[in-house]
Amino acid sequence: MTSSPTILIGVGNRDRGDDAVGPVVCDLVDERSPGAIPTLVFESSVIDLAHHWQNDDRVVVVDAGRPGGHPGRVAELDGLAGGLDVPGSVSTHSVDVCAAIELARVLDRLPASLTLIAIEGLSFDLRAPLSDTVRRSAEEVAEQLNRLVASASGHG
Amino acid sequence: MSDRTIDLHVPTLTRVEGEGAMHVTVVDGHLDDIRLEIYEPPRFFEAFLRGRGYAEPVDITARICGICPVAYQMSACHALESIDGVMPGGAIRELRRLLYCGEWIESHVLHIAFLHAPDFLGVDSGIEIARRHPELMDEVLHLKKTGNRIMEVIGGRPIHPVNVRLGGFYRAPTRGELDALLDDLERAHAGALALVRWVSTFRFPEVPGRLAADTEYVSLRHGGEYPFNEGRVVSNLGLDVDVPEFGRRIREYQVGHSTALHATLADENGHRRHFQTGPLARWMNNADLVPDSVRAVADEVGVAEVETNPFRSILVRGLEVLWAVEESQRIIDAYCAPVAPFVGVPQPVGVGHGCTEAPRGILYHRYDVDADGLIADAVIIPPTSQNQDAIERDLRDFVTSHLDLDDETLGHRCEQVIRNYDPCISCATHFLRLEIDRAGGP
Repeated sequence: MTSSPTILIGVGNRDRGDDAVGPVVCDLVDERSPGAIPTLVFESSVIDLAHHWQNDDRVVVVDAGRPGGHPGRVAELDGLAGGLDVPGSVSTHSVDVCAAIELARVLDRLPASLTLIAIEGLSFDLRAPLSDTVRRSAEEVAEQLNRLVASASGHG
Repeated sequence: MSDRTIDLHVPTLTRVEGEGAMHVTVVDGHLDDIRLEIYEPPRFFEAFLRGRGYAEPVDITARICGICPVAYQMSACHALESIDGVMPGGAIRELRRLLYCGEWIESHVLHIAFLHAPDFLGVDSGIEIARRHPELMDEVLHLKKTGNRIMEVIGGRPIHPVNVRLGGFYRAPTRGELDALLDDLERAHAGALALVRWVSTFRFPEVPGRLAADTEYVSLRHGGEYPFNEGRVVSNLGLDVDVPEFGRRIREYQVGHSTALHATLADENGHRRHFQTGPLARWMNNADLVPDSVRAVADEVGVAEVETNPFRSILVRGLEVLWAVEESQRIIDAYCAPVAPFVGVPQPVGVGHGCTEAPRGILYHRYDVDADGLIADAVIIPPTSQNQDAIERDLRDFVTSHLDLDDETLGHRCEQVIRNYDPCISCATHFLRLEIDRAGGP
């Protein structure tokens, strides 16, 4: 991720522990760069994801990753690359992000760039807060996004 | 095929909301056992509600389901408001209907295009359908987004709305906020038309014995409008009772193979009757109440006023999407913001009943509120519980009359029979592992 996104999308359930990391990143960017870029939170189905961007948008999607022994680990993937298989759409969503992107591809609705950021979760318990390590990763990702946004707006 | 023995077990049903399994056993050509097994752990929401304040069920019960939270909020509101005879009217009533329209649109469209249509086309997912029908599926996504958008504007967010309270809403939308939905609704109308016309081209299997099953189709009916929030509970067999009486007649019971309660309906003599709820029942009891525009489309796609083939429920859902889009347009066109976003609801004491039409059928709530305003007892009977008997009877009829199908086809068809009811077990991940144990026979 080297340029500022034009849309930031956070996917996850705010009430399911580390599943909330996507929405939390959106919150952090909104707090530190209010109004700088549109942020969208998907707490349920992402099936209509493709209808929330335009073909010339630069999109960043942040979602929680399946636990794999490294909570807080951040993986960045090119969503436009074929054969996408993001590990970890741990999900309370009926259609995961990968399927929604594949749907967008089939419908010729992919944006100009699409970066997927998966932050590996630790606990997805109901009503649990973010794990400390996951929160730190969320803050780092948000900070990186804020720097790109500031740079694009000439305030960097 | 008459001596065929089948042990068909689908341990995890796919393309339904929640976690369930199906088991079919045929011995020597005779159906021995058939079960819709819901194994998702009990969630104890009724127990959670005890001791909570009378205003809290509106938000707590919305968390039961991510697909139909509005249904839970509306049934809770009506039950608790009914204790003191509070009946919000005017714009508040219309906003409640508009919010419900949003839920019907997003829920029905998800089910039609992504959960159920793949059964009819012999594919695994909506993505495969999109490869074949990209323009249609693009409109389907727009429809889904429009439903979510309505929920967001009225309810404050597209899932688990936060703007609903007893007596109405915390904040009423402005005329401008609703007008901003009209362009999307115009496009959604064309999309809904295309969707129902496409669905009408499907081949619908028959379920012999369906009418002989003595099924009673139960829904709300209210005045001159297709039902959402209000009305008497009626049926094709002459049931016509108010909601409290329906609450007294519905009998929940437990079966060993399901963590969800089943339900039957007692007649005036106490005899238990099988019944079902949902789109076919709504349509059967209210088809005369849809606008001429929807009636004309129903005629065009061959939907009669009485439809009993459960495989054709997808068609009725399509018509209900079209109707919900038109109802949304009507409500917004006539909207004048209310003077206050809610009416006062005094602290209730006593028992209240509420029943509204969730996308899958009627959702009944009963609350007993004590003198301190705390919930002493709560009963919630969702449509999927009410429909479990009907699903198992459909499976029985279908398997008995389709023993000539190979195991794989029979298994898929049985899953389709279950999906006819759009069962909402809960939001969960879905995997398919199909096991067929041949115990003998050809």
